[in-house]
Amino acid sequence: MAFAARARFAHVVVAALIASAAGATLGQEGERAPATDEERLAAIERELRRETEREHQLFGLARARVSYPQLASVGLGMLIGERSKAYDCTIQCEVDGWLASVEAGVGGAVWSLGPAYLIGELGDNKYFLSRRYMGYSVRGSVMRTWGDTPYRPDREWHAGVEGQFTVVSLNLTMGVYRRIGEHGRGEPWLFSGGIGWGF
Amino acid sequence: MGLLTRGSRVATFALGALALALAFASPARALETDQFYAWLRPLADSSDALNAKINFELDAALAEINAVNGGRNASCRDALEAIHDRYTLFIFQKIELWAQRTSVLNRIPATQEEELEYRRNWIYGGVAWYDLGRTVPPSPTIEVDGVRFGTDKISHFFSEGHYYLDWYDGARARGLSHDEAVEFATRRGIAIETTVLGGVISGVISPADLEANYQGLRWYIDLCDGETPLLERTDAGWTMREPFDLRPYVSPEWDESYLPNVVLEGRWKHVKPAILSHCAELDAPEVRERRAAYAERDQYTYTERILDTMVAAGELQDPRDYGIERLCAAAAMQAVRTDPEKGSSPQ
Repeated sequence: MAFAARARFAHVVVAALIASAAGATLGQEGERAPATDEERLAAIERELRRETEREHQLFGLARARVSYPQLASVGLGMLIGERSKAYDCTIQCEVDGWLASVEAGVGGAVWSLGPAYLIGELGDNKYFLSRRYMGYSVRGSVMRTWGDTPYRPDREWHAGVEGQFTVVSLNLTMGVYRRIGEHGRGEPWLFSGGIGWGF
Repeated sequence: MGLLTRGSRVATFALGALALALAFASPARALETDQFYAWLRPLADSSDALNAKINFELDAALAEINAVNGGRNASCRDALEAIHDRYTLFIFQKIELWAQRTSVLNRIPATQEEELEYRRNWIYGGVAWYDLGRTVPPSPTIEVDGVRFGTDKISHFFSEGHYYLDWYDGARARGLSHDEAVEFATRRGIAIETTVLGGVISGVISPADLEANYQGLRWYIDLCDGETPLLERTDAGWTMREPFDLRPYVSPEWDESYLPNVVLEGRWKHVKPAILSHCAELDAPEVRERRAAYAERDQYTYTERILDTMVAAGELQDPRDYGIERLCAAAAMQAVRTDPEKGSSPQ
């Protein structure tokens, strides 16, 4: 884990600098070389600045939910996000980026893309965020209905906007869609909503 | 009513569920912590590093405010809000996310491996799988000015302290005096802790959290409304009269192993044995020394005074009944009764 190694290295460097201020560091000749308070504070300041630097990382996401009009569905997503350069996401981190996802269910499928914010962690997993503590996204979505969708004719295309909010993996979604294409019947607007697990 | 199909009703339900989740989640702005876990572990002071971070964000907030017309269009409260936004978020606070990850703070657990071990063995680690204590990460312990506390207290200081300020402002607008408004805000914070936060969401009523909330209120009031407000407008824009220092606000009451939580029944059966497992550590020199130092600087705080009136009125269980000394003494007495041979004090 390159990120973890980097984070550990940074921790060791900063810890050494801070320890040196307490007079614990030995110089090359074995002499005590205590850093001053100013040096220690400058080291902290440098690290605080480094923590504001961001870098990109790709995260995998999954969700399962019951919703209308998809009924039961499962989805997979990719979050291309920015996080602090100073530490990886093995334990909790915040990620700001773009989420692309595809979700298929009994009543249809949805493709979505939009900005997202998430606090989560990878844990032992390298790519999939195993825990999602809090997150939200608003995404442009395209939906294709099929099968037994109650109160809707099947095989329709819809385009719309969907918002989702997750707290401790409890996922809530809401969306509004409008039918696209010429062949549809009845009400052109469709309101979607669901509750489930994941992000 | 073409729009009100069954699908719309489902969407309405989802909207309602979302609103409910937000309503419940919005006060749940901080996490649980365990200072017993850190008792026998060495921990260096983090005052300078924590103050440096808080001042780093303060400077950034004021730079933002002063970037527009040198801050001349901004009121002191605008500056205060910009400062608040640098530390807080929603449920999980920015300052605490930082505190859990940064390399500049000394904390327990210190590494990712220790963090995973902490999650297994902290005092709330044995609660039911669906319990929030198992699903959100516990706050690590840091030390400031000789006091050990969870990083959740920093969240409470900046986030809950700001809620207190809103309630304080509301009370002042209704004509209450400063003292009355402070009491109103503090009592409302306690009411939320003992009902929604502690009573429903976490099952833990934390007087230590309430102490940090109250100190946050003090700081927020001092920013713009103190006798000499900490924020001042200069030719260079809004500035702090002096750098922030958390130490005057920290007290032994922030340490949850010293000022115990009231733990509600469902959780208590899991938490009590975990606390009792630390009884033997009460005799460890570093623990005795720390608790003696705490006792020496312990004061009867504003929040404790209000909590005591609630205990006296039967509105709250006495937090002292959940303290480790009392629990260990009771366990020792129980052991004596059951088996006089083995009944020596666990302390």
